[in-house]
Amino acid sequence: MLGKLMKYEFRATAIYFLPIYVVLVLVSGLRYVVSLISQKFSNGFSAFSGFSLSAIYLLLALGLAITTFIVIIIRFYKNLLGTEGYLMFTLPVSVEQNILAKLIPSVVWFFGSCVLGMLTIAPAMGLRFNDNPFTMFTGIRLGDVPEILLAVLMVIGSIAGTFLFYYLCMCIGQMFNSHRFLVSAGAYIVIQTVLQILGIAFIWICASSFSSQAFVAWLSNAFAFLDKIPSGSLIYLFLIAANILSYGIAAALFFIDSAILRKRLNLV
Amino acid sequence: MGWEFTSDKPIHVQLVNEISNRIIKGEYAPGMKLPSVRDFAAQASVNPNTMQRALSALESGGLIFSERTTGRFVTNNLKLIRKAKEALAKANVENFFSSMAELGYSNDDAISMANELKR
Amino acid sequence: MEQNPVVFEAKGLSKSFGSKAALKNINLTLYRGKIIGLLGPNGSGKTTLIKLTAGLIQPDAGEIRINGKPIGTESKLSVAYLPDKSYLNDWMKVRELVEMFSEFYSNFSAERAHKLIADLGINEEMRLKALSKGNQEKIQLILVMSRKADLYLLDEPIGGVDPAAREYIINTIIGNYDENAVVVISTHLISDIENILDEAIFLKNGEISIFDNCDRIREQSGKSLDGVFREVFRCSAN
Repeated sequence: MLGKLMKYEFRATAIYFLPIYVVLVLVSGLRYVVSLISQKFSNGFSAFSGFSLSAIYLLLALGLAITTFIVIIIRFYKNLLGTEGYLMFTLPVSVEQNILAKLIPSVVWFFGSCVLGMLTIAPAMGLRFNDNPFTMFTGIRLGDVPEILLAVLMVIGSIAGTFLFYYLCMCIGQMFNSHRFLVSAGAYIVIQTVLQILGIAFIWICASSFSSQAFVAWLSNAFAFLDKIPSGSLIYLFLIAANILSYGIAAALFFIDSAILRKRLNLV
Repeated sequence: MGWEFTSDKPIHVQLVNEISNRIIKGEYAPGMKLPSVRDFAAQASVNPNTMQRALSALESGGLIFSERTTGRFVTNNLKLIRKAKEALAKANVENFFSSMAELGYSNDDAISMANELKR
Repeated sequence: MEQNPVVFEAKGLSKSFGSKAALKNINLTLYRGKIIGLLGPNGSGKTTLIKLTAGLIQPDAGEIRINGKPIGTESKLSVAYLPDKSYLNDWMKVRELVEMFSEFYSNFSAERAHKLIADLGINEEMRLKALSKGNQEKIQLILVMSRKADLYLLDEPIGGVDPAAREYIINTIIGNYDENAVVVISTHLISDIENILDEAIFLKNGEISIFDNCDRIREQSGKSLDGVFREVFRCSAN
């Protein structure tokens, strides 16, 4: 069922992303051709067209970033919590499947937009990298691959967590009978502010604790095991911890989101 | 539109009358296959259970018969249809007399008035 | 009332929106094989009861069971729900909507849907939003009635349509519902559906004021259902 839901979700969202992707690739490719030409015949026109294409690319990339953000929010709000939710929540699928069917395509599009941006930005800016736009990736050694994969995994986890946090705000908003979007935005601001305050409080407590000799001694004792770990492995430890944290947060948010939609669903 | 009904008699009774009328008038010919209960109900815009009730009543009266697998049919018994026709005609005449009686006319007066109108 | 198996059961069901109580302690049991009118003026709680049963809103107190099970993924397969508004993705083609319903509902008959759509003379390659409002509503009805469900919840299916469309809608319901199911039709236009109902529920200010067999209601009151309705709701605002 999740697969079927995602199929329809991808179909509904592709109409926003694919056209921008295509134009982005075209502009970037055109800019690359212009830079090849201007290498041979440099004149005012090639410089101007090169500059214009780079500017168009940046506007498009900005547009893509905004589109990604808006589509992710609107799809959840409209398709699940609006009148289309009358269909989505009467299909014989679970609440969890409905949320995942929004989350997974969102992460895929976000990730796709990032990768596309990385592949196209160099040529679009007129950089030639020895006439090979992919040289920037040749610096990667095989030994770095596990670290890179772990880092990418962590980024995906935190993206998912971010989207699930947006979902949470909308889930809270839909519990009210009016001004639901306003309440959603309010929930976002309130939760963010509370988290910021907690973060500052945490740092402040840490900072003041460091002035205590006993605390510093305890801390260095507690983390003494880090000294025994070879420095090459420390990065793994850090990445794994970061992964656990980001996926832990995402899982907790997923749990809260689905609990709200299962027990407090309130479609008007 | 569905069939016309009045609110003074139960729907199943009105259905029996309406279907009998159609058989008597030959609209539903002898031996003709009738629609399924559901389709018949949809045609008349009535509840299928009500239609079922009416058809059962007609069946016990003999105007329609059912064959287990193929469905319901109008009777082939022309005598029975003629009888039903006569019964209906009689009922109409009786109705006529009783409503004339309400107006204060005796049966003879009513008949002579009917004869006059015919001319 | 009957010994047919229970399809729908509500116990102590209450729901309010803000300070307004929409349903007050509803107890209701519905048995297989009946077409039931959920009757009441606007604001009497009809839509609230239907949305609670479809699982789109949650009760403040009490519970609903479908075939003995609480509202959930399983109950949603046995409930065919027609909302009082348009809930389909209108950029989809009619053919795609039929495909979507047959993918998700194992009890959906694509064959029947295709036939009913063809009977209307609608081209399935049209997008839903390109159809007239009336045809959009009919497509929605066809999709819902092409399912073999245990409980059909039809919220105001004949509200605001012309007599010809009304007849089409009523005949489509009668011609396609599963005979062992319960069909709940909510409306405030009693006279139009009076003849197709087995039983009637009169909802007044969130409470059930009458729930009985229609023939019995008519016999005891000596009035049509519509007449009884007018009497029950004479004092209310509209």
